[in-house]
Amino acid sequence: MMGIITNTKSEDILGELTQHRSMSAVPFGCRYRLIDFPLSNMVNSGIKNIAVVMTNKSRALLDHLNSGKEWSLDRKSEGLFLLPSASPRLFQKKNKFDLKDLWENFDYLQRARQKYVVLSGNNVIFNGNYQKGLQYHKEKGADVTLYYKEEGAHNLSPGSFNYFEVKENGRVTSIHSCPSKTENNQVSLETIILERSLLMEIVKLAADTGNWDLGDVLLDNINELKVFGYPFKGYAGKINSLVSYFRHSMELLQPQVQQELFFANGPIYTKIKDGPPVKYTETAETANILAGSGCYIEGKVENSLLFRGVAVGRGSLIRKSIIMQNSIIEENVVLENVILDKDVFVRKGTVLKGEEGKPVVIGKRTVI
Amino acid sequence: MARKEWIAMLLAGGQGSRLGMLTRNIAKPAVPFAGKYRIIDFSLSNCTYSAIDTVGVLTQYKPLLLHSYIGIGSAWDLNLEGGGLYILPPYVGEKGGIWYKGTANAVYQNIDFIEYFDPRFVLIISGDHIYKMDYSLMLEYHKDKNAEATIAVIEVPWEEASRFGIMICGENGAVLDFAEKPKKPRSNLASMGVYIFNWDILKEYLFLDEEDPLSENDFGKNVIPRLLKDKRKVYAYPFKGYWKDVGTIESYYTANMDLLKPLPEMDLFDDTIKIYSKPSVLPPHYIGSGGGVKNSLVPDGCVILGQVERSVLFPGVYVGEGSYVKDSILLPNVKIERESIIWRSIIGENTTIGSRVKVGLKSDKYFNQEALTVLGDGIIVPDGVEIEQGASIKSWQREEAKIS
Repeated sequence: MMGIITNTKSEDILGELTQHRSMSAVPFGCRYRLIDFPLSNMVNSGIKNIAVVMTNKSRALLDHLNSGKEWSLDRKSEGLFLLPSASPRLFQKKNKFDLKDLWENFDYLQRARQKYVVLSGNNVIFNGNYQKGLQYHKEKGADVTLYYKEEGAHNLSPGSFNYFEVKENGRVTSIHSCPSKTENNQVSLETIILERSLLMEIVKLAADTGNWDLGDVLLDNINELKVFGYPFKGYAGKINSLVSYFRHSMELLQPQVQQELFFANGPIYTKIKDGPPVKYTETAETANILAGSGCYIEGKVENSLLFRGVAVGRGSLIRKSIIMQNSIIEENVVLENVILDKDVFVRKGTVLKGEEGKPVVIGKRTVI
Repeated sequence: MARKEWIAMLLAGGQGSRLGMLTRNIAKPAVPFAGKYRIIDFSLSNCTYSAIDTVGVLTQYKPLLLHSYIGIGSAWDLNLEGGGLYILPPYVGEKGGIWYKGTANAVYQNIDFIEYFDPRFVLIISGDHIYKMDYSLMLEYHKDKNAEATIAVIEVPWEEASRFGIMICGENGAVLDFAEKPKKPRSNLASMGVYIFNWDILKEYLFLDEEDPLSENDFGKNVIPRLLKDKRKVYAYPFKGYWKDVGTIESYYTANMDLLKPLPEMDLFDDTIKIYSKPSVLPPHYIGSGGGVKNSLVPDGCVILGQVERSVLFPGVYVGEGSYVKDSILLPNVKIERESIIWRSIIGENTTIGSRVKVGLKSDKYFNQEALTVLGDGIIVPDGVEIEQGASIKSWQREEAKIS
């Protein structure tokens, strides 16, 4: 099996967080970026040939992936491939899997020797082994297998080709853009398994017809193709809005979620920073927090996530917030329901509160 | 191949027997230190910072973990073409082979390795010390003085001088005399076990030393005194900064606790010389709703549901609900279940402590500041047990007395 990580089309859905970076490079879980999850899953599934499609804002992502050595993908043969995107994609925002990107890199598909391909979006977080999906794919005699999770309508939002109708035998009969049920909506996990030859056929077809949308192609041929849904049972999140980003981040404070996301099928690899262990001083107070390495904590932190290299000054209170890498918070600051992007500097005595569940986002390198 | 300016030989074969329980299964350089590092990280990171591209690591005592930890040196950016990191254990040739008899003999046995790179200078260091040092400044000093050998020295408190190898120097830095652990020290300049030699001189003296049947084949005890006796140009390079030989359990404990001071002498947060270590690939650490951490170091992969105060934790440590850890060092993957108390203890790697266990407490003298309690690696301590302060435990058997 080979793996390809594709782009999310409407990358600006995270606003400030995707202003300077692609969705793949959005920081998540105190030390990771979103792409670490599908990429580590691929590595942990024994996949040795992995391609990542670039976007027009690739600098952060390129810096993060580098040679791929943290994922053991700096190989002489195969390993990590970076595929240029077909277009800067300024206006098209609706397509899910952009077949145009794959057409642009058709040589790569042609040269690969693997029989099967797993395509993954870059905004889904779960810890799973794609070999299980492949086994299901083979057992069902499927042409295409789509990963999904079941979820009530409560937290769901519309999105193109986001929801499946799955019959009892696993056959996907329809794909929608809105959740249709109050319970057990089959939410797409943007993960697709199919044979490389079929993918190439679909890409060629797309080039001929000009329909670059894999979701469209599947929906149009839902009766001709054997499309099956693979129910992923573990914890899974899909980041498609700032609200869902915040919610899934906060869910990491549950030990059960940590277990399922960080350990279930193998470790999640990421770029190494070599920071020291976190230092909590005499004045530090902590409850329900997750923290990456290299933080220096002198204040009070509750129900929050601290990325690597964050400093929290004396007398400061951080609640229900996400503080990204190397942000510095001086003394006597109060932050609540706030997301600080990287390298933000918060001056003494600043008070900043967002709404419950709707955090205020402070952009990268801001001084407040 | 072009001649190299210098290479480093890192002595990492010592047992560190005075570290007792900590080096029962691993060599001293592989002992965990400061929350996420191992002792050898400091010397290797110094090499990286000093832009040395070839390091031979001489190993001998229980090398399995040390070898797997160092690998090909990629964690320290020492996986390089035309140089890099080499692990050099003792070997046999046509005429058999012997173990490394001493520090000088270890280098003597690897003369071929050094000749292969044909360096002008050889830096000799050990993997036993905690310090941040730019060796390239010492090399400049060595060249400026036109020295044949240069020894790094550090000022130690006079009352401790008799524990070290002491250098007596002239005003220009030339070493006049050397005394190993003198009863009445004439100087407080202690050798740090860091040497730079001109390779041709070192080679000559390694042969001389090897021919001497009375020699213990040790740099400090034999090679340096012989150089001084022969009036060779030996200089002392004064080093300013933190340097510690964590040779005993007590000094190991103190060196770790030193890092918790508000302004530690060696600041891990100062990136001037960054200390690299092999990454543990663990998630961020979690402190639960009922958990609290004060005045402590906590690395990745820890889960803290209880209270931790003035302690140094290592990756993968778990402290269960209601447990209380104070003034202690919990090495990698230590697990402490619920409602246990750990005080002034060092708990070895992969040791599991059950619920309602008390370690390091003296029921009548709760605040005894004296003895440390040490538990070895991979022990399983059952629920409800009490381990007295000062105990040193290497395994747990049901019938066994509380102190082994």
